[in-house]
Amino acid sequence: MQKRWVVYATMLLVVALLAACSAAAPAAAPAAEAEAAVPSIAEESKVAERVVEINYDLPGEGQANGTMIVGRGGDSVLLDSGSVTDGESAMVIQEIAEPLVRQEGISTKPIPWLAESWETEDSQTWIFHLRQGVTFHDGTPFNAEAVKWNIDRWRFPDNEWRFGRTFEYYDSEFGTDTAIEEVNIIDEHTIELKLAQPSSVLLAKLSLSFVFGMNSPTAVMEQGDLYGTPAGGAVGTGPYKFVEWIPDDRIVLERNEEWWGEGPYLSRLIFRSIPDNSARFAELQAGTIHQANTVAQTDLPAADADPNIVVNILPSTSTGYIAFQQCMEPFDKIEVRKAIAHAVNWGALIEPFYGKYGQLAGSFQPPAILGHNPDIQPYEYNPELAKELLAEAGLPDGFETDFWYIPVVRGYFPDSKAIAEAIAADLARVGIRVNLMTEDWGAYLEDRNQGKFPMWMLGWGSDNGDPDNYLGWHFSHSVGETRVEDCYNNDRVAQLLIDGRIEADPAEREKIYQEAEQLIHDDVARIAVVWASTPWVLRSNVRNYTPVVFRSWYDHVWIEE
Amino acid sequence: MTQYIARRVIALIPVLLGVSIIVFSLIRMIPGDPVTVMLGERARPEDIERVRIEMGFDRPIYEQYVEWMGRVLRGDLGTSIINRTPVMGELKSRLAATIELVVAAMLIGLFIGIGVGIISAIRQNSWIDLTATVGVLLGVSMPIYWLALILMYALAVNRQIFPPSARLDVHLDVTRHTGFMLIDTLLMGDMSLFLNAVWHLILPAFVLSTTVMPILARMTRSSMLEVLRQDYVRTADAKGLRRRTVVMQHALKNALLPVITVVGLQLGGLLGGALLTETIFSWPGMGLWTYRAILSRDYPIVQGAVLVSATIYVVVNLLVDISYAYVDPRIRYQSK
Repeated sequence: MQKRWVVYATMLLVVALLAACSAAAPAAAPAAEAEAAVPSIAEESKVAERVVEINYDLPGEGQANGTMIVGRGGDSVLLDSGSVTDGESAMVIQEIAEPLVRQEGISTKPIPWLAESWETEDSQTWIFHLRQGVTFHDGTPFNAEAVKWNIDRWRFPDNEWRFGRTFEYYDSEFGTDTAIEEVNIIDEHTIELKLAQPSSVLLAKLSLSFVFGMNSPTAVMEQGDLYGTPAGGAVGTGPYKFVEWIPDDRIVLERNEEWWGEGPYLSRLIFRSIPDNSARFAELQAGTIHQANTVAQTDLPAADADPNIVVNILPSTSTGYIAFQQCMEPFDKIEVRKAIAHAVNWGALIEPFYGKYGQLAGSFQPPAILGHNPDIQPYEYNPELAKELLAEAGLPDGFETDFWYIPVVRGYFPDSKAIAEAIAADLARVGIRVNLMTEDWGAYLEDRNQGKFPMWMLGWGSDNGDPDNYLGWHFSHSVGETRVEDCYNNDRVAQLLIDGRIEADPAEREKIYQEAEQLIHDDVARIAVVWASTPWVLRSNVRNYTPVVFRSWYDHVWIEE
Repeated sequence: MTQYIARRVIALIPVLLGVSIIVFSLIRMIPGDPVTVMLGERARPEDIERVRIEMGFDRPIYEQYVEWMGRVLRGDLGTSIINRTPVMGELKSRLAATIELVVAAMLIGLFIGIGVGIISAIRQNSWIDLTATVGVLLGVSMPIYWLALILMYALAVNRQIFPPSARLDVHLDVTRHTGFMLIDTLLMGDMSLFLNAVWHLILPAFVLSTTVMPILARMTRSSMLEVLRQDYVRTADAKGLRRRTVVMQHALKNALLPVITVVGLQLGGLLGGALLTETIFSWPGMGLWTYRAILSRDYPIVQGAVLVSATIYVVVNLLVDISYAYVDPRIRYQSK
């Protein structure tokens, strides 16, 4: 069973890579275009796609009525798609509300979902043909009017149905320069979107179902500000319907018998909040839950050894990095940043802290993300070189600085304090004395935003598999300006990241991002430390579970009795 | 007596007002605000600033306090910043969950603690007493977090005697009237539901009870030893009363006075210990709720929860003071 997963993982890596390319294809048949653009790996793509199909085996007689219980660390915040950014809300929302476009299986290839097809001439005006005969769980018909109503709610801050909620994800994904400027209803099942500028990322963006999932306009208007809360619930078109939400205890969903797709095969899907990592794992071992999200590294060997538990590893879509405030001395000097890059034995961090769930990073983006640059090698561990670089920078005796580490557990830095200590020890050997600092998470993020940290740790997990959401997120700035949080500026990088957003040809986009990767690496703008994989830990009788870091689907899942 | 109670109740007002001011300003003094936490790694400074203004955090703090207090006096604790639900509605179910847990823990603690205390006192320096002393030491020094996990692994994973966590089996549904699982299941008239709730309560309540059990046992033991040496006990023994009657009726009643004080004070400790117990056993109570709210800087929840917890604490202490009068008739409250 576990061997099979390794095989899947390898194949999926290929799929993810390839599909990341096709994610950008703006035409009606993106798959075909992607194959044409990168013919050399078309055959592998077919192999990989077959894996996805094999994975979906159908439940036998009487096995499509199970209840799946998912244990997770925290409760959802709100089930109103678009207005929340936390993973725990996302996970539930995307089973209830569906987007126009989804990504296939575990790949990042856009496939029709509530939109059956789409067309565009210039990547700026997009026409979506909606699926017909779909209704929301409350009976409201899904049509162009409902789509326009939802999009207007995302994009207008003064929309009367926002109840003071913010739609951060819409704002950050579409911003002002790439906003959806016009939404025109062409007929009941056809809608036209006009963007402020051409965007090749539109489909990848729209596939973020927890943000761009469609809510029933009737339900939102009737429930008012209770919509999405435990007292209200959520109404979408998805495979599961909202039943009840007991805060910090559970959220219960049940099968939508009227769903337009095939399945779902579970009669109930329950999300339980089990805050303590050890307790959650104990529940998985006891069989009282079927899936445990975020299992402590220390529990993974026990999970591996348990015949009733399966650990799935998927290609990494997450990076842990070290960043510098480059307006602050001495980090304004590239020699100093380079010295740090060479002073630390980054490779030695992987085995003890990540085991098989992490890989020493070369380029900033992991291999599964389009634009990953395979030519970039990790910085060589060379303390002597580091000392020379420091001397060149006029700091032969080193210097003292504050080094901030995250106060929370993240897949990209599972034990941040110990990792920071290891880094500090290596730095001390070349004369860089760091004071390890941390503070409460809220404060940490705020100070980071304001550029208060000289040197700090943080990481990223992809949302939609697109490089604009990866490299773009971290290094975008206007040409001629500097970024606030780290004071980085490189006009060429700025221009490349703007071009990457617009370029429609995946092969060209790949080149653009690869060049940016190289420049960022040469500038030591940030040091990518690790590409981390999230292990998904489930009972072995759960079938067809398809996870990636940024989404997971339960519509094909069933429980083998 | 009535006057005394009235005076004490009035004295609560400045105390709670003080608490409200302290918690209101403290939570705002911690760096980071709900907006930063809400938006997480993805936040951009300009978005944060905009949302902050939308939520009114740019206004002077006293203005925000006066507005909040005005609403509190009308029985409205505000709305959660993070998920926009009214704090009051949520508070009721959280409070019920915690009270259920704390009361059950207190009952277990009292039963075992006082029992062990009595036996240790009457069998002073015997092996039972020694075992109890060691047990008490262990109980005091054992982190509740650790004990909870050990018991969970032993009794819920390896031997599935108890469920690992939660208040009720996830497959069962209960209509929530009071928020007290034991009462709500009884109201449904289904005995198996009620037993399921009891079954879920035992492990967390026992774990939590270990925070009060040792001190109750120690207090009872020393207090009993003192009372057992008194003349009236010797007299009772001498006139041929059964030992059980002497201990349970004559000695225990007098020995319990200091124990009651401890019970009152320990209640605060239980509310504190409830946080860890609630976290490990996924018990959706006040502790877990407040803890989460502090991390996410959900001001209205933190303020409401702390205010209510403080109220409970002072009211319980008042009740303890009043109960002295009933336990020890010599104590009378005079108003001068």
